[in-house]
Amino acid sequence: MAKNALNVSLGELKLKNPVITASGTFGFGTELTEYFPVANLGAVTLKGITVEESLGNDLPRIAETPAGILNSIGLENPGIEKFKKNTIPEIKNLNLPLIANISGYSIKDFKYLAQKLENEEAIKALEVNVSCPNIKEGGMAFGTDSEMIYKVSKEVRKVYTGPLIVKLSPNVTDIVEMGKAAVEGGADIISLINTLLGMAIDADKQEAVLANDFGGLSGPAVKPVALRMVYQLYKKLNVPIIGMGGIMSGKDAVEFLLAGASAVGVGTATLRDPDASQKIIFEIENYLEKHNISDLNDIIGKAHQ
Amino acid sequence: MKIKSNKKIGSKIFKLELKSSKKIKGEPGQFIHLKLNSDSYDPLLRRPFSIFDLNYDENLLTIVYKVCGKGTELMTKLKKGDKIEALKNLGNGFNTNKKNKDIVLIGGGMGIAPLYFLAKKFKSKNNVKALLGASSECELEFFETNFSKLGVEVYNATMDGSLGYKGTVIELLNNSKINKDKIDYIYGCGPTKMLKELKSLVTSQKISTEVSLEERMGCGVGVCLSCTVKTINGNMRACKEGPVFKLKEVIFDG
Repeated sequence: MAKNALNVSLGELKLKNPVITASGTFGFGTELTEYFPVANLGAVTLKGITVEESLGNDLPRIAETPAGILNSIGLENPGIEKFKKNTIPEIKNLNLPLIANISGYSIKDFKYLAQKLENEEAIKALEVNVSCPNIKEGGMAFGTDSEMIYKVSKEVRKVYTGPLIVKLSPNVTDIVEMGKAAVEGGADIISLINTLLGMAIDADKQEAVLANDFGGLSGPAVKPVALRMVYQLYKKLNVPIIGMGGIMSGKDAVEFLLAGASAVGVGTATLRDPDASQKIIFEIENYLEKHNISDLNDIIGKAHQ
Repeated sequence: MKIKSNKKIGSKIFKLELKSSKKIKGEPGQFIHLKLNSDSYDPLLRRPFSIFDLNYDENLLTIVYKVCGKGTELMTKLKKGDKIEALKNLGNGFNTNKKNKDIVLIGGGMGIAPLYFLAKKFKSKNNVKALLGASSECELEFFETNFSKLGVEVYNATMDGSLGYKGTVIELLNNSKINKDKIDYIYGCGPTKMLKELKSLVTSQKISTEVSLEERMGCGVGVCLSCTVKTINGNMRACKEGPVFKLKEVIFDG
């Protein structure tokens, strides 16, 4: 197979392969270096950052459900200052594109974070998380209101000149409306889906499993929803899409590419197998060979024909 | 790893022996993360287990587990020769660099498991006492027998009084003849309630104590932040910086 068979472009953001780790499932990129050469990935999306340090939600923060997990981590992170001072020096030599993921409780927060990352050379793109279900203000409250998505995207666009990704929540009636709002606001790339708001109840204890009651559902259980949304957005938008939601194998990844994603995010799979994202790259390669495809771009959106 | 044996050793309690073809590492307090199925996503996550015993010469690792859900139910079906994927050598274990000390091990329920491996490391160079607690004899008998065989002094407590002292293992420590002023180090593992009580006891007695925490884990390798532990030094990950912590540094809620 040609060496560049897996190359994809997300506008200005060029990747050697379409596999990106999803935010919050790969730490800051250095945690899993003993399991596989991280530089083999297309890109790493870093753990979400907020303005101030956040200690996250109470425990339990994770619950397993059939073919899925619910999490309510609550964006535990060191805050932007410590991230810039301590984390960036540690990760800048990872030798692959790093995507920072930012979360805010107000439009001002998002703008501030984007400004702080504008001149960070190690950061090749910015993912705006308007879809975290686990924080009380901001987060998903932004991601379910197209007007707010538009405003956040627009304000961030004013101060951030690199590739701008807006990550959408699936907890909406009309995903196309949300995608359009992000693009009108200035998003270059759309990523989706974030987790689906859900709940687990312990029948014996007769109470919610998560301390926070609700959490975000991810894993194979959500894949059909994610695929449908990627498919819908590909039809209506003219920007590249990073598709994610329950991708566990190369075959799953290919399904997202066929639906119209130009790249894929691997999240929950990493929590099961630390090297899942690398395996997925190999499996995509095998798929191309098996189907005699010389350029991955040939299959993007093909399910629409 | 390959299953060597999987035996029921008590009420809902099983002993699983895993053989590795490669040189196996691991210290008391560290854990392994087992993938219970590769053909389905239910259960989706791996399951963490502390090391009950490790034979370095035979590359044989033993865990003890209690059936309490879908994952452990599946494990009971494992049989000799089956293969299972394991992430090994995870987390930070107990500080075992001790000589000529009076050491007390305190375990509650399945929290006793990692203390056996620890007792084995300690026993030749230190004076070791083990205080073991469980709800009933059928959960304690296996541990009692094994600790006794090691030649350490064993004290038992059961909630129903079926073996040893009737009550918790902390009450046992308080009511036993063990001279607390003579204890150099305590090592504990068990339910949070037990560790909280242990903390107030060792704080007043000023006994240096390490505990292994049993937080619910996701990835086991430090990326998901499900098993965060509050400490005086900020949030720590049970799977990465832990599961063993200095008890005085752990902040318990409530």
